[in-house]
Amino acid sequence: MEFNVELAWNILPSLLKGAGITLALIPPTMVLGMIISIPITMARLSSNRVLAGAAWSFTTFFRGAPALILLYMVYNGLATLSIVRDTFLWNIFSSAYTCAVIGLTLNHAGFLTEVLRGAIQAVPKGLLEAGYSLGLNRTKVFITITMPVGLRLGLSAYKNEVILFTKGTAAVGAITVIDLLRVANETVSKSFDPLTPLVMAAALYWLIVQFILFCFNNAERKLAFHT
Amino acid sequence: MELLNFDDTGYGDELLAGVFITIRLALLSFLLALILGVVLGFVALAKNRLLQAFWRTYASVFMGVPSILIVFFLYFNAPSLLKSAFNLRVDVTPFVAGVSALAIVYAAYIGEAVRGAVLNIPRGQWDVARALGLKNLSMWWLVILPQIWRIALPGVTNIWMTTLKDTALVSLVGLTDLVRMADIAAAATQEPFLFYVVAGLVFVVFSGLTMAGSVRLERWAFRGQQKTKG
Repeated sequence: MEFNVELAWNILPSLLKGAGITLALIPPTMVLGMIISIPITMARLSSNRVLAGAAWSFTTFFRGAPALILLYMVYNGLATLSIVRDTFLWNIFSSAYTCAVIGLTLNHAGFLTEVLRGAIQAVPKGLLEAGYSLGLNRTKVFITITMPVGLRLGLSAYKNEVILFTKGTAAVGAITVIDLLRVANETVSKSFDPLTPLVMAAALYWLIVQFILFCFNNAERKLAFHT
Repeated sequence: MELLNFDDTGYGDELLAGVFITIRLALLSFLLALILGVVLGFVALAKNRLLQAFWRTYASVFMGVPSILIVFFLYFNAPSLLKSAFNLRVDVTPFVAGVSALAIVYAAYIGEAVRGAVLNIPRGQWDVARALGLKNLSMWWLVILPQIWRIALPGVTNIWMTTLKDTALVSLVGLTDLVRMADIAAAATQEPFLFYVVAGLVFVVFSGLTMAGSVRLERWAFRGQQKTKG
C-alpha cells in the first residue's frame, strides 16, 4: 500500500471540514474549563475542609478517569435521566457536539485545577510578604502579585495540558461527532485505502498542535520580559 | 447492584476480565515504551546530526499526533507494511496494535524525560566522577544513573498514568478491555451511569495506587538526599 496523492487531494476538503469540527471543540472547552476551574481551585486551597474535600474529589475523579469514559457518561448516560430527557435540558444534551464539549471540559478542568493550584503555590512567599508589608490587602496581593507571577510560572504546564486535551479530542468520534479522525476513518472504509486518509489526518493534527505550540511559545516570550 | 454480580446474571466477571486486559495492555505498553524510550533518550543526546534529526522528527510526530490515530493506523496498516518491508505475515489484533502504538508514542515522552534528566545533572558530577578515576561504566552506574532516576521519576510517573488512561482508546478498534465491557453492559442493561462510573473509578483507583507507589519509589530514589524545607 502506498500513499495515494490523487486520493489525498480529493479527500482534502472533507478532511478540512473534520479539522474544522476538531478546532471548534478547542476554544469552548478552554473557556468553560477555565470558568469552572477557578472556583474549584479556590475551594481546593481554602481552609474549609468540606469545600477542599469536594474540590479534591472532583479533581481526582475527572483527572483519573479517561476522557473516553467521561464522553460516554455525558452522551449515553445523561440521556437516560428523565430530568434531562423531558425538560429543556434535552435541547442541550441531544447534540453530540455539546456532549463532547462537556465531556472534554470535565476532563480538562480536572487537570487545569492542578495546573492553577501548582502555579499559585509556586509563587515565592517572599513576594507575597513584600506585598503585605506595603500595606496591600489579600485581594490586592492576589490580583497584583499572585496572578501575574503565577501566570508566568504556570504557562508551560497549561501549554502541555492544552496540547494533551487537543489530541484527546480525537476520541469524540466514539460519540458520533464527525471530527477529523472520524472523517479519516470513514474515508478509509469508503476508499479501501487504509494509509492515505490517516496520514493526511495525522499531518493536519500535527499542524494544529504546532499552531498551538507557536501561540504559547510567543506568549511565553512576551511574558518573560523581566527575566 | 445485582448488575455487578460475578455470574451469568451480572456483569462483574466480564468487567473484571476487562480490567485484566486493560492492565496487561498498560503494563506491556509501558514496559516497551520504557525500553525504547531510554534508547531514544540516548539517541537524543548523541552529537551525530543524523541521529539528532531522527530524534527531532520522531518526537515531533508522535507528540504532535493523537495516540488513537496511531492505534488506528497500525491496526489498519501494520500487516501490509510488515509484509512489504520484511515479507512477514502477521495477524495484527487490536491488542497488538494497541501495545505497539502506545509503546511507540510514549517512548517519545520517556525519551524526552531521560534526555532532560541527563542534561540536568550538574557538570560537576561528571568532572568529579572523572577526577575520582572512575571508568565509563562505573561512572554511569555509580554517579549518573542514580541521579537520572531521581530527576526523571516524577515525569515518568505522569507518563505511566497517561499511558494507563490511553488504553481506554484501544477499545475503539475493538479490544474487549474494561471500557468496552462497561460500554456493552451499559447498552444491554440501560444503566449507563452505573457501569461508566464503575469503570471510571477503577482507573481512579489505579492512579491512587500509582501515587502511593510513586511516593515509595521517590523515597528510594531520593535516599541519602537532604530534605529542604519549603
